[in-house]
Amino acid sequence: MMSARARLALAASAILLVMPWLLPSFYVGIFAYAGIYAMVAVGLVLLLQAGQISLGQGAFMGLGAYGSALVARAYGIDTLVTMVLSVSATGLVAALIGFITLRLRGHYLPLATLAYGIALAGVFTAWHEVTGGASGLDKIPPLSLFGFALTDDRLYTQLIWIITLLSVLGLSRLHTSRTGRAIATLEGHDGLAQAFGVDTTMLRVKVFVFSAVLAALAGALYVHLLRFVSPSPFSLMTSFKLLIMAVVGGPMSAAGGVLGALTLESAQWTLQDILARWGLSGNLEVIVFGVILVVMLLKWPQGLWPAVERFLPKPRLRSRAGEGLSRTILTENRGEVLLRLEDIGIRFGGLQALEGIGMELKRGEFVGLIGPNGAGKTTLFSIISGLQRQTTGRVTLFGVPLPTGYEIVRRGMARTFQHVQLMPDLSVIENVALGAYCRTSAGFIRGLFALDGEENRQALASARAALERVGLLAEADLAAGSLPLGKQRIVEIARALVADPQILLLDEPAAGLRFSEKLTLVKILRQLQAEHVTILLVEHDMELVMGCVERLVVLDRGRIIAQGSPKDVQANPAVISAYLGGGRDKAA
Amino acid sequence: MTDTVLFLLVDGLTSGLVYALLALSLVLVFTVTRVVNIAQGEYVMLGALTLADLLQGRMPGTLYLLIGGLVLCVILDAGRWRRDWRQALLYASGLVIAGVAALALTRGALALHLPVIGMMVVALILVAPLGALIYRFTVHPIPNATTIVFVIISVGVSMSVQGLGLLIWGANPYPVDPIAAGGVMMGPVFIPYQSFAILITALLAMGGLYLFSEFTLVGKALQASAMNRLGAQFCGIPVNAAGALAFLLAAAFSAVSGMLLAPLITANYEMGFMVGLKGFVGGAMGGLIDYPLSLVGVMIVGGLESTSAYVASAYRDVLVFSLLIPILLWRNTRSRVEAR
Repeated sequence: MMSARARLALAASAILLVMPWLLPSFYVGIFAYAGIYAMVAVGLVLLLQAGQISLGQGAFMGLGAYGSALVARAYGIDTLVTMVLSVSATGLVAALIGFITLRLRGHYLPLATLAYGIALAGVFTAWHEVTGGASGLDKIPPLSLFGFALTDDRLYTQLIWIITLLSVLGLSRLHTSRTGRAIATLEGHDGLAQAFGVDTTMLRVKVFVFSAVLAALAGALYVHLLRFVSPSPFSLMTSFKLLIMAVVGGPMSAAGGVLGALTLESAQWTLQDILARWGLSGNLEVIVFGVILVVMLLKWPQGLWPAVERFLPKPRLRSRAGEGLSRTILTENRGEVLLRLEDIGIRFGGLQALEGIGMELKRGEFVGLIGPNGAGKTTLFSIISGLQRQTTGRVTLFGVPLPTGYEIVRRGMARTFQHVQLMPDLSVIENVALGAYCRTSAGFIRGLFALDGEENRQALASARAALERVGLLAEADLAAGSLPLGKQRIVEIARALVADPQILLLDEPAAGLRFSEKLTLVKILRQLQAEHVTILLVEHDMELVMGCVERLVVLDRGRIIAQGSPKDVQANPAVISAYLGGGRDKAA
Repeated sequence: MTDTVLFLLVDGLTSGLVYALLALSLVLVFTVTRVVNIAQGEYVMLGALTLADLLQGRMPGTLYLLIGGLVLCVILDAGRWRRDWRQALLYASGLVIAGVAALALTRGALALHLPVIGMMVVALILVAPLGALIYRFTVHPIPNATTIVFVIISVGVSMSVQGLGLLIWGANPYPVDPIAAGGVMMGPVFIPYQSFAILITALLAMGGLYLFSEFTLVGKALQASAMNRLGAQFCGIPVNAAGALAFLLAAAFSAVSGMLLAPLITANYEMGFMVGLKGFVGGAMGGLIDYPLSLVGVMIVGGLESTSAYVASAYRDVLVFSLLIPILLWRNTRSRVEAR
């Protein structure tokens, strides 16, 4: 049984696919170009979702187009073959650009793609023995396979729209998959993504390559439709127009790309018509385009798609029934050392923030790390969770040196964040399911072609089980951003639990909570302790810490001043003076 | 052979200095406001075409842009009338006075037939405020947006301003007089006086910005906003005013570079965009935050440009923009410092 939304999508697709046969022949061409631009815009929307942008999509179209056209024209190979070749080559070029720019900060990709776009357009014009220069080349063969050529424009237009709509379908599937959840973290949640095992650079490169491949495919389809190739359709202006289409549609849904392309193409035809009537020539519509781009981002950064979404039935949720992923049995084999810190020191310029820190975390223990402000708790926590590297000393996790970045969670250590890191627009259960990222494997392609059904169900089922464990099952389908802070912090704990950790790191989970929320938190922590989860808790709230933990480590001025049971620590004069001041010198 | 090398050196140095003014503008804007301003080059075009109009005795179209921008400012401020009409009236009349003053200044300059340098100052006064206006319209409303959003916005600004340039000046190129015609033979190479003018202006601009940042309170406030926006705000620095000032200064530097560059090529509505982007390629060397490294970058760009214009002229821009790849590779080796 199809959902109401799926039926609506099918009906809209059917209309778009019948259009080529209903339109007068002049408009068929325009409709075909709209489909081609929509294909590229859909790829750009994915890039926007990942918090990136390319200003050289026109050049990727051009590379796909020239590659296929020139090879087919020169060697008489079937164009379907040359298309595959040139699209793959473009993908490789994009991967190269991605690898050198996406490790750097956000603004390098737009700059690099812009420069690449100009350089490539320059090559198309300058290398005229091969490309025909600015005036271009004609007699480009039509789309063909085994000698059968597709020369009917209406059929060709339909083919273009089929590909465009299939890419929308694929990306909508991807959006709710393991990879989709990871992509959602790429805009501004790098620390979170890494903490749950996402190789952010690699994922960014994949997204970028995918958008470039769609652009190259669109370019190749364009050139075999027009059967003439010249540099002007792949200029910077095209790249900018494609950018506007993606922004107008908005990053919310891949369908936004189609909406943006149709909107902008109609706007362009109307504007050119009006300008011609006023007797104005040249590309004056760019003034309006520029204003549209600015106003959209200032007023409606989510684009036009949310306005459509309001009238659509809700999408059907993906299955979360049945058994989740297996859970490691945590035995009560206490005493085995899981995490060991030896002589940790870190220096920031002239400041020795930590010095000579040595501590252990044993299986099944619940340890609290406390200290007055500025004692170095946060720094130590960053070192343990792999965000910062110590200057001296060693951290070992399960007997081996602590790996960096996204590898840590795979070894069995998960964390929560002091400043809540949830994707506010995603539902609670999807946020929690991100915790299963490191325990599942379906990648970009499986997500795209919906080959991840069983695994995704397991991940969501695990997320549901974790929410049940912490008592938030009723909120599973609300937007995470709509929950009060106390519940958001507990969602973070649920997310960490889905990663099936042996060690749980909690970074000030009670900060900013109300009394009743703290009680809930304590209840959950006690329950986890009873389930033999090993916990390291950094916290300010002394009452909460004293009431939960078995052992305390007290930091002051970058050194450990006391370790032991809560009772002993409370009586320790060094601790008292560190907290209450006075007599510090005597105590030291 | 030596002659050619010397000639290329002088030529490369000259364009490098023009790009240096652009890189200076880009770094200033980026550090203070986190805006990667793709539209920076458009001020080059506005500066050059405004000067062309003034030198030929026409009312420059820039004046209409300025007055239109001021009017838009008053309209966008409409909400303030209800809250505090006195302030709003003061603000609106200030803008009206600014508009009238700009008009009077232009008319006066045209009547007096000022020399080139005088006209350059007038053009500068007309173009620089446009930077502050663009800041008011596009950055001020969304101070916490991501870098990517600002990049896209600046693309929109660039398209609109270039389109307005086409609407006002048309597609024809305009000749612009140099500050002083002629030049000197230095050994075997002829160096136009204009190149010296560019050198002196670039040095003055860089030195001026340095002195302004280090030795004035406003300059220090600008630096503070660049280092830590929130912190600066807590110290009572009006960061929006700092951002507008950065945009204004950057517009001024870019406009001056346009006025100096125009006599060497010709002024037209498209000239600025590419100049701006070449400033970026150089600025990327310093990660858009480091002035001295950016300077090295633009000199490499200038040198490569003049060499490739000589060796393979059709591929000049291809080579210049491909330079970004080795620059980014080099930055990757330093990425521990600037990884996200």
